[in-house]
Amino acid sequence: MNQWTVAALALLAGLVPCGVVCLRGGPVDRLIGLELAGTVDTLVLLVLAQAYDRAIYFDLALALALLSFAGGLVFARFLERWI
Amino acid sequence: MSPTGLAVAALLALGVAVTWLSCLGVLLMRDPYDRLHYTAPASAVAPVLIAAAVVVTEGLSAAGIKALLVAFVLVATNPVLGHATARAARIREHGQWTITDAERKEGGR
Repeated sequence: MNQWTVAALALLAGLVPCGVVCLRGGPVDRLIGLELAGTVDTLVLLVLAQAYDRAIYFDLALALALLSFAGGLVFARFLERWI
Repeated sequence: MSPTGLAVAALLALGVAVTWLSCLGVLLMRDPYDRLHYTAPASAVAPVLIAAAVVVTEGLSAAGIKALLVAFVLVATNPVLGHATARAARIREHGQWTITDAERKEGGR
């Protein structure tokens, strides 16, 4: 267990506040919790890719960063008027 | 521990600390607009610190360049996402995202 694994575990703990925010408050507050969770997940994948020492795993973090951005935009668009 | 290992540990610890503080800020604020401010450090500061840790370890190899790319994507997309979310919050609240007549009478914000 090296420092990268420890950092990944520590970052995972940051998902708990995001989960609490997603469970409480209005729809926009929940969306903000989801967006922050996407960012934290990206960082976890980034650190884990280095922990496992596989360059190809960095692509997962890149894909999640791009997809959580697109997902957040779609949610924000729907929250403007329809939901 | 070597100087490189020490630098990597320090960068990782800082990145994790910034992420934690960001998550706590989002949890403790009561307003969507206040919460949005606290999403910024986690996606503007922490990715740069962690990508720097990867680059210090690996140099500018495939892994280092991809880590920098991930940090760049997060730093570039978060302001757009924050703007879109704040816009959605204002449209839900006021029906429009530009300044409202009531706010203009108050002297504007």
